[in-house]
Amino acid sequence: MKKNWLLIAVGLLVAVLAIAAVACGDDDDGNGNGDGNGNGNGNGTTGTHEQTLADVLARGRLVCGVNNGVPGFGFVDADGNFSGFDIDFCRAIAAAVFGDPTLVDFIPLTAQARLTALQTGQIDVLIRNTTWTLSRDVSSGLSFATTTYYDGQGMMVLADSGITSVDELADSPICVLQGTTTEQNLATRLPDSEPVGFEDNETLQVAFIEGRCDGWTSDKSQLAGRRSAFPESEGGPDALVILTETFSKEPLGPLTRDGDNPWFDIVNWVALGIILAEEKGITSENLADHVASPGDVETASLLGVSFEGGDIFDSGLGIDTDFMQAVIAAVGNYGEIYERNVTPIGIVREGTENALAADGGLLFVPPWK
Amino acid sequence: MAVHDGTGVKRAGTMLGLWRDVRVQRFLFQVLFAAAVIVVGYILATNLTRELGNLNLEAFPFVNVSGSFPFINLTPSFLEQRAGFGIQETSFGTEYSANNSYGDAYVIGLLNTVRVAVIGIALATVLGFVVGVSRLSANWLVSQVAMLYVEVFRNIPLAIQLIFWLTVVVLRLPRIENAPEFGGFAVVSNRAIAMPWATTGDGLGVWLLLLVVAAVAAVGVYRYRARSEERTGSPRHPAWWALATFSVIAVGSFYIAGAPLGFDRPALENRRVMGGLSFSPEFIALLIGLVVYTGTFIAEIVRGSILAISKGQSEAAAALGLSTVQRLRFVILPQAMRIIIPPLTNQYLNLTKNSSLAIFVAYPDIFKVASISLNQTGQAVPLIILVMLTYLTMSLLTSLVMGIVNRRLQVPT
Amino acid sequence: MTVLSRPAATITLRTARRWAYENLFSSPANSVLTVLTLLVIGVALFGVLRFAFFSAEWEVIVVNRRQFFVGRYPVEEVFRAWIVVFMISGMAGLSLGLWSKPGVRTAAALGILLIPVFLFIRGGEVAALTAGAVGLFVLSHVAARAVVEWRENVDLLRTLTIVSWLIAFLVAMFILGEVPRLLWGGLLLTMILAVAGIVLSFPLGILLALGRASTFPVVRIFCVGYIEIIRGVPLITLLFMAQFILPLMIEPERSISALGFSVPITGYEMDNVVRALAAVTLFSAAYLAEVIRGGLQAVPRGQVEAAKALGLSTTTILALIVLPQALRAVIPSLVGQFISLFKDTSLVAIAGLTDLLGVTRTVTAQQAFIGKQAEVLLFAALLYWIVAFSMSRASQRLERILGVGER
Repeated sequence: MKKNWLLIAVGLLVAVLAIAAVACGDDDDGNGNGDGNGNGNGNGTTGTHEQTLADVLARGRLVCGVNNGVPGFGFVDADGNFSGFDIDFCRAIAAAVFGDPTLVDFIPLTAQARLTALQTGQIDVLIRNTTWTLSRDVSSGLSFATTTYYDGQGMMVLADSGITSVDELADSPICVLQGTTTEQNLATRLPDSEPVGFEDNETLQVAFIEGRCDGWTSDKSQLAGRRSAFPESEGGPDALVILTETFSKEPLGPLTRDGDNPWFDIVNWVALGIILAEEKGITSENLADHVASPGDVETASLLGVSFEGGDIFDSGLGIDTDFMQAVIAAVGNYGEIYERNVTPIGIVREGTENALAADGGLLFVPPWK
Repeated sequence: MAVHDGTGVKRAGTMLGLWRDVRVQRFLFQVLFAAAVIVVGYILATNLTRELGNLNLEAFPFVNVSGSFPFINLTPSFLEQRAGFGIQETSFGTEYSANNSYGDAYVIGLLNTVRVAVIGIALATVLGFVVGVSRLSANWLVSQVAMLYVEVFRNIPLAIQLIFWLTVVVLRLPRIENAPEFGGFAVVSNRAIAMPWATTGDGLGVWLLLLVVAAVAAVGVYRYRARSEERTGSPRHPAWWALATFSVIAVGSFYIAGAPLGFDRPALENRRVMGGLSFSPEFIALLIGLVVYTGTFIAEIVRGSILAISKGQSEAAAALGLSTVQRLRFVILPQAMRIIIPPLTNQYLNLTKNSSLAIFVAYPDIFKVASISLNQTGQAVPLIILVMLTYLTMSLLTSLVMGIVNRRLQVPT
Repeated sequence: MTVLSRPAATITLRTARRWAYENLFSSPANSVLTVLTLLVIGVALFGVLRFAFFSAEWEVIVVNRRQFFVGRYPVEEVFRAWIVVFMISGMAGLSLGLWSKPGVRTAAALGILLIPVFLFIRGGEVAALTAGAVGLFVLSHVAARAVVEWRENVDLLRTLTIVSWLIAFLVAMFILGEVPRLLWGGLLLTMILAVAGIVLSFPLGILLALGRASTFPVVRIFCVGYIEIIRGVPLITLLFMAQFILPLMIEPERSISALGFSVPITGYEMDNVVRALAAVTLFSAAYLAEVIRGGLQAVPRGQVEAAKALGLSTTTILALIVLPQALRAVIPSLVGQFISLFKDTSLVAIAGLTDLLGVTRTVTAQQAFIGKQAEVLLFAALLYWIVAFSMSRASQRLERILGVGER
């Protein structure tokens, strides 16, 4: 058996080569690793590299961590394209950085994997209905940009059950969609209920229809999506009622890594700019008019054009001054994004937190100057 | 590498000779191998601990290279924090609420896994043996259906089958409002499937003691009758006599001890099943899925083993006038068992490991509880390692038990 | 009905009756069994047919058919998948022809099962290409049969075919790899994970099996430990480990660095697919090692001793005498291992990949198809079943041809 080390060495080499052959199958877009390596070695912590923008530019594509299973927010359409509210924000960032909303790769992530994926640099930005909480913001090494959607956990029941308040479900079986805080919120609100925790909405829906549970709890946006598509054979959307009570606050928005302020600023202000565009009445359709003759100084600053012959406002973000033109041309303003993605799943915007501050909602943009 | 001639002849004396010494070569190779493993492990562990430190996460039970002596973290402290989530069902009478810790929740998950695995192994064995024998049945239809069952359920991923059993079969049972009660014997609904279960009284200890006495007496009677049968050659029905002895003592002592066992019958009260032993639909779906899937593999093992017993054995038994059942019971299966046990052990292990797919049917097993905890705390490393260690322990225990059974069944030499 | 044909009909009727009596109703117990079995079959068949033809709405599959097969693979690149399909069907026909006569019943059964799949593939182009692939399969099969008839000795041809399967794997990976991995999905991803998992784990499995049989205690302990640990835990925990722990182990400096050398691996390259593949490979290696160990034990000791007596070195003995025999003996088990890996890869859906099972989850997130779980799962189950069943038939055939198990 003296020489079988030779065989072992050869075998190992073959195995490594084979793995490398597969791993490098599409190496042509992996050029970004050169500088990633150079800067990364200097300091052991992930928190101090201000290099995401450089990485993204070198790679020529944005990598966005998203959901692929939530109607209206992040899903894959029949042609294999990602679509949804969160997806549009990814495209907006790509438009801001490259002027082209198509230069973005979407990586679908599970709830458990998403934070690690961002922490370890697998993605540049995470836009996957992630709730802004203190502990996540402080101890996970991540930063939350402005909230793009205010959600909250709710309860859905059958209309003919006659249930009108969450308290009536105190000791009932409740179907829960497994999430990060969903089970905890339920246990806090209804400690004596029997939680039946499903991993996907489809199986849960069958269980609910068949009468396994009296209530169905999840984020209200998800409940609304399921409700609007409830099968006609079971009575259609009218067979279901989403109770008015919201028993958790779920502000959702994009995340970046801690310590990369230039990149965080870009993500944050692209999202804010989209909201501001709605405030200013700029849509993808009338964009050209506003560029030609901005109505006020802030509009001119937002679009990166001169106001009545004055200097062009420089955001200092390190990307083109007229980046918001590309963003609005690509995805439109907040209202358009909402209209396109969220309205079809049956969630009315008026009167909710997701209306502009001027309309009584919570969407408010600091001055763009 | 032409220096080595492969004959293993030692040439001591010079330095070169020392290097050529096969024992030295062997030793050095192993040192190098161990060093390589340790270096790779060290690099990965260093990276991991540093990175976990950056993320404020714990590293159990990994070597904490940058930590203090003894460099091993044996107490993942988050396990003592309040879990804050509910679990719909517990096993073996354990109690749990959202106020318990993550550690408690983990134990609940473990017990749930053990329950489904133990019952699943028992039922899969029965199903596998029945189908395996049926595949060789003289009834054409039965053997064809057995084959159809094996081919269909063996070739579809278990995950899909589990969802099928839950959504198409178990959840289609009657709703709780219209659940039949079968006169108090059982309740079948898609919220709970319940059957009567024993309740215990005061004299239970006394009665159990008397049962042991009854068993001893029955064994004595069996031995006596069997010996008498051997001696005289006329049938003495030792098994029947033993059974009768046992029954008489057991029933008599039951009333002497004050009837300490009662039947608790399940009943519907206010859309809830009260009393009896009740199973959740998730448990039933997982159980059916595991049993049906594993049953196909056990059936193939049983069939293969029976076929491996030479045809002459069966024919000789037939010539002796044994019936089909007798041939199986006394001639074929005892021999087949010896071939069956090792692959059967593998199937038991597979069933236990496959129970981790409970997540597809919302049954709170160990993996699902760990997955919820992981979602909430982000403590991936300690949780995944803990789950792996737990499954590893269960696998080793199963192998150990089956190893003992196997040794018992082998032909004494 | 003419007078002449009557006796014939009566005879068949009588034969059928006798057959039924002998095979179905030979005893009261048998009759009860028969009736019960018929009842069970009837109920199950009725349920499935009623669902398939009346309650199911198959639109979700028709609209998303491309995703089920190739995931998000771009439409203009799908030709790559077709090239691979043609390559495989040609080689499969060739191999089948070289080794055995066609199994008419199996072929017919598979043909019937492919009909529903065909029904969902609307569009002449796809149907034409599929027909072309089937045609190539038949053609190469006939050609191979002709060669076998013509020449007695086809050993060289068979060896070449085995080698070309390995080359085909590399070529296929090269062709498919031009498209970024994050666009792989559906049956394509499932197949790639299973095939690449087996191929990549094969050398590892051989090493582990040899290591386990090694006379070096350190090596042996390491290999036994590895094999037993991996076999003792569920695949899903390994997938989670690859998903959560692996990035932490090698990502920090965006490279694996050791002793001054560093292999740059950016997070972008070390994507979900590669990590899942790593987990699947490491998992499968432990099982393959056990399969190969069985093969090693089947090689008679005398062969090794004879080779030693001839003065051959250990490496030569292993490479030219032990391994070829051992591997030949384990080929059917390898196919079995492939089948179970093929089914097990469905777990990557939990880890967030869009394999065949993962696709069933993403397409039901489209607003129009919410609640269509039964349809998509049934379709996925059918695809899984067709592949797994044909592979298991192939393995049984191989077992017979190679004479494994006959002692």
